[in-house]
Amino acid sequence: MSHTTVILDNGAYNMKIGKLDCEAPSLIPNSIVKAKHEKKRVFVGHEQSDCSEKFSLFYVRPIERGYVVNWDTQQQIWENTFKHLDIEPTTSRIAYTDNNYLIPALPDVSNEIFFEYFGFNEVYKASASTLVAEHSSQINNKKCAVVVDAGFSMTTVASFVDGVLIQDSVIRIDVGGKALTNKLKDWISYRQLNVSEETYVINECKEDICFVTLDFDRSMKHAKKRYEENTIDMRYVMPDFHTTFKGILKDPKEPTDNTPSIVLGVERFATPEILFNPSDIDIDQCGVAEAVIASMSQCPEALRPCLAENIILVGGSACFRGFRERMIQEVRSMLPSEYGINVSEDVENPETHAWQCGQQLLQNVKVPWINRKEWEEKGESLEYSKFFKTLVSSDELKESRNFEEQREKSPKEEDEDF
Amino acid sequence: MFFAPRKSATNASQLRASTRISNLEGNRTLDESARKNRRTRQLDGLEQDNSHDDPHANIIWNKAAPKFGDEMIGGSAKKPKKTKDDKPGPSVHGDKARRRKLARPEFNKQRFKKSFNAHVTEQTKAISSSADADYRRINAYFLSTAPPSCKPPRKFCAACGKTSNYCCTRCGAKYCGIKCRDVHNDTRCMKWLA
Repeated sequence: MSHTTVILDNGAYNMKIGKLDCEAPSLIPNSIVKAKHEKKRVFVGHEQSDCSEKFSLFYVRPIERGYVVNWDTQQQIWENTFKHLDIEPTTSRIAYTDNNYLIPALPDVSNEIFFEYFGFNEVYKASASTLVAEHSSQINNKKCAVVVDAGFSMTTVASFVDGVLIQDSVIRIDVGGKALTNKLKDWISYRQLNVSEETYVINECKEDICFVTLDFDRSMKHAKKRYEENTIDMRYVMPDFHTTFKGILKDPKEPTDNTPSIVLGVERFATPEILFNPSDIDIDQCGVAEAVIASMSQCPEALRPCLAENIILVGGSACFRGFRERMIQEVRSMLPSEYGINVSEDVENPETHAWQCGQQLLQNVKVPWINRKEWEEKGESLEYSKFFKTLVSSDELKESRNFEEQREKSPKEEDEDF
Repeated sequence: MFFAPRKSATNASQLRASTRISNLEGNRTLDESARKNRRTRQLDGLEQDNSHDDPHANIIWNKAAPKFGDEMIGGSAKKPKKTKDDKPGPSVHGDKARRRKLARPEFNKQRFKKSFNAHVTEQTKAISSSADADYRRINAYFLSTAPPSCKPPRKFCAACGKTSNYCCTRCGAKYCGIKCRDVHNDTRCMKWLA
């Protein structure tokens, strides 16, 4: 019935999309861009590579805080992408990632779009973290996994047993790539040059020269030194989109011509540091490493050593230089010494890892697809029973919640009696 | 004999304070709630996609103007109409899609009225009031929020980003030395997002 299988990891910054048999996914920006110099058209998804001058781009993104909120925009981008990649929906089925199957939050209307607008035959859904965890349990034969997904709009940490989610262990930190870019933009705009409109350039700058430091205090000491002794400072010459299309890294001591440039010192390591210490910018939440520990402590004690041996880092923000090393260092220092630790051993590219996991899963394992008819009969509840697998079921949770509610109510009633 | 006896210290200071001095900005300090307000506004700013306005907002589209993707030859007035009709029909179920579209929640139109959290709360309410509620989905978003860190927050200079020891008496921003304090006073103190 179905001829091709499409895997779509619907990230907030980049969509990772490709057919089952292709080597690597195509990365397509999940946004519509409006440019100042080009008022006759907008750039949808992959068309952004046609946009020559990337000054003060205006982004319209369908995803906010990790969840699709603008379905019309999303549909437009998908349509464009399917056309671009030669995907014929009526003869294919689609595997799709959505955060609602890790942390249920908003109504998910994607089925309507997939079945009714595009006419896909079958749909399979999961969260990116679930794909990674199922891959590690079914293909790599590891019992437990902690999946850290450092995405564009948030960072999540979740523990899995046999590919099944332990729901209490899901932890969400409201810091992602977008917050980091915006903070860096803030800092540069205040300290040097107003770049508040140059999201694209600063995002690239962040990817190019920011790094996670292994010793924050030492790096800070280095950054405070002057002139020759300072090994942190770096000059980033902004692209002008006529002769240069990408920022150039330069030594700050070199004489400069008139092209606009910025010198980054503390910002280089202070930006990714926010992931590990959100309290640096007054967010009252713990960092990723602490979240891993917190997530593990929500699991039964017998599982913890097993969890520590399989920590997987995915997501675009995990691509920072030194991210993995810092993670090992911090988690190691917070766990008992007899625990063994393994962090992302076989992850080549954290950004596309979830897609690769999905590909290998679909090639080797049977997954529960649902078709249009099933969906029309049972609707949303079917999706959650099939795609959202948790250790504690809804009924068990209901009983414990009811119990808690009764306990909460009973002292109140006593109060009323008095 | 010559002076009226002082009743209390507060009265005396009230007498001495002139409106001009009490209105001076320098005497005003932000209380804790105002500081918290500023912080949350700042954090909301981190989730913004754009800091400037839509450059295409004021463009008035001319209907007769050729659309991108139109063919050059024979670009008559009929052509754009045709493409419009073609657009929703890559699927067999095009008609149904149009009908369903009305039922789809229009987030983008209400986006500026309602915050993201309000949407989540609404969805939670909708689920808990439904007959066969899935308890795993109730309040999941808020329950998953990361707990506060057990390490005390570090302090960084708002002006230069290096470690700081001092704190602005008016707005609570940190600074590392006289130089950065002056920069802060001249630029962002009390003006930050205000």
